[in-house]
Amino acid sequence: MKRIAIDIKNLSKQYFLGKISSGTLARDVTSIWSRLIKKTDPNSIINYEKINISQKENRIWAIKDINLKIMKGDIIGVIGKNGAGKSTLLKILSKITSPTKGEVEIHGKVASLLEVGTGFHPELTGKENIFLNGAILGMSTSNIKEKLNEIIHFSGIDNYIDTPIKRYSSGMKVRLGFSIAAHLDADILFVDEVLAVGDAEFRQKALFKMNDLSENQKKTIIFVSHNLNAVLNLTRQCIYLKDGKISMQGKTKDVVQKYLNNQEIIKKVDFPKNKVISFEDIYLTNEDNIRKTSFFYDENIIIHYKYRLLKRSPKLRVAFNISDTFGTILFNSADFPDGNRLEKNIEVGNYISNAIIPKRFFNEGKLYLGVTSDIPFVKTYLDIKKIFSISINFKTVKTADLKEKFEGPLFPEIIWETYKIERK
Amino acid sequence: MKKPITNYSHKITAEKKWFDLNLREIWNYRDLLWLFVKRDVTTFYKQTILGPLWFLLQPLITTIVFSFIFNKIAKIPTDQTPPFLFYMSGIIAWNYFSDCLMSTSNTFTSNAYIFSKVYFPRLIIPFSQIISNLVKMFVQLSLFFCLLIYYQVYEDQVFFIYRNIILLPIIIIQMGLLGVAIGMIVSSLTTKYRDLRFLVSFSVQLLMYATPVAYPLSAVPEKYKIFVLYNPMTSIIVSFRNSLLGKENLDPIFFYYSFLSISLLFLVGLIFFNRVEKTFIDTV
Repeated sequence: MKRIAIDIKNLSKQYFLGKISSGTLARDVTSIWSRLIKKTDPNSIINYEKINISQKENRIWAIKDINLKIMKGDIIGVIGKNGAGKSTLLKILSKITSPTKGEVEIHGKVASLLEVGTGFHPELTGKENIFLNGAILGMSTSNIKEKLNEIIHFSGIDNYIDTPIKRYSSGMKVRLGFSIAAHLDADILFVDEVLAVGDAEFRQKALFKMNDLSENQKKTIIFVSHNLNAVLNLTRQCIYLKDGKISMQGKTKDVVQKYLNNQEIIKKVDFPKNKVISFEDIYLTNEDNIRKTSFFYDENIIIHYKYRLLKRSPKLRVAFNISDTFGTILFNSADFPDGNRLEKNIEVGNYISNAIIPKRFFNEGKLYLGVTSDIPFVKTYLDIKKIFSISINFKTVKTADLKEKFEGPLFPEIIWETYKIERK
Repeated sequence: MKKPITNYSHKITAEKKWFDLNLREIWNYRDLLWLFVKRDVTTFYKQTILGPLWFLLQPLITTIVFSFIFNKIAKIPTDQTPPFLFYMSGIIAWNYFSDCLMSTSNTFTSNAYIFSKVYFPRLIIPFSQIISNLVKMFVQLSLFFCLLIYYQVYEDQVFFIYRNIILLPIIIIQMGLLGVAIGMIVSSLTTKYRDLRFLVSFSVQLLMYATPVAYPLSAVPEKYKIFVLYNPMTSIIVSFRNSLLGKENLDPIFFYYSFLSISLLFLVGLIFFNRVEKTFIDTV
């Protein structure tokens, strides 16, 4: 039977918005004094009822009534928008701040990694900083001594370990910080965006190490990240925090799906006015007609155009292009590539055009959608280069190993056939 | 050696206890305490030419200035003690107290960044300040002892250092505790009121003149004496000088008074610190 590692009961945390106290000792003292002698507070706003209301409005529940049981050896992802309460939750769990209500029972030694390399002193050498940072994270000196070689080796900066870290590049500091963190002897790890730093190669290494920590060393990990691919790769269970509450809890893939569907895309684009074509809306959905800009690998991406032809336009076309983050266009596509609209679609009226980009086409990553409308070689009516950024998440096709990441912006399904030829 | 298996289970609650000092936890983090001390001491003189000599230069120069102003110009007596030794012992003791106070008084504000990222018992910081300032003080005391021997041998001065020197550790601990006690109170309040920071640095300077550092207790007119004696630092400084030079008289009752008031202040400091450490990160 699995044992409970973390038991969170009705956990809530309230923050005050705006000013805390009046800011100076003198004014606070007069306020407290007048409260004591039951006089009107000279620093208060005149209308008493009004302050009561504004004080209530000034309070915000960063997290509210969180109940969660985490078993030993589980690795749980926490996702949510900025301000959903992810970091507050981790801060309470790691005892950096205390909750307003509720309680948490933790069984096991805790190490929290809200950042790597906390407390590094620039004047101390790499080795001295390993001891210092390790101790800040709760390791004993003897324990660090045992693991010193392992830590140094993992960080890959063996040659510079006796140099003061003020001479290190920021990447080297991150490497060192992470390798200390990865060798902590804690049973429970709280990890916040730690993997978002360092170069791509080291990120992969770090991700792999995290996986190793949970699968082989049976550590309990709570992993907070904006990087959905990292969450999908690393965790099987996930919670989705929304406005301080658990909006959904379950299998990571389902939770991420819900999170993506929940992101409302309200983007008002001002389309340039002209006398030929007037665009009302351009948006993206998946095949279930849910508007979004983050897609799974195995979802169709549908580009919807709503527009009105203001005069008869036989040569007009509506098109889009996809470019990568460097701005290189990967491909173009138009409703009528040769610039000749179908006879029935040239008259004045309202139109809808949908372009369906088939699923299993793009690699995971970020892309940009550009939209255009023109009469070839004559006039361009619309040209918005980066109307949306599209992110593609997670390949459901499991590659052989988590370590392997295919390069390139596309990852289309290609039909392969292999035969063995018998020669006589 | 196999370490005993400790149970790390703990509970996080919303309750605010008045006093919740987890000594076992601090003990678990003792390695961190030493590493902080080591960091503070070794980084103090990194990239300086004179290195650890800086520990000595500051009290030495102050002593010279004091002997000139208070002894040569103002003609304040030093109770049959060579002025140089008299001022130096006072300055060393006062510096230890004020260093402890000043370095503890911004514990929360200057460590806010680390505190917002990782948990360890916050008391480690003030405790490490007591110890790293102690290291500095020992360096200064060793210089003082060299001078003491010089005066014994070449100037034919006789000091009764053997009589009270056993009290020295207790006195030093009290000085550190008093500095840290006030420092903890100040640091807890500065998370909300930044004004205090400015107030403290200059009050400490003024407080030195209310303490017999640059003058002996016997030079204080009888009617003001009682005000000077209310200052818990007074009997500490006088006893400190006494245990080294043995020339002043002090009623033991004031020593007990200091002991009591320091213990009380330290307790108050702990309570303040304790109250603030859990939520200060939301207000700082």
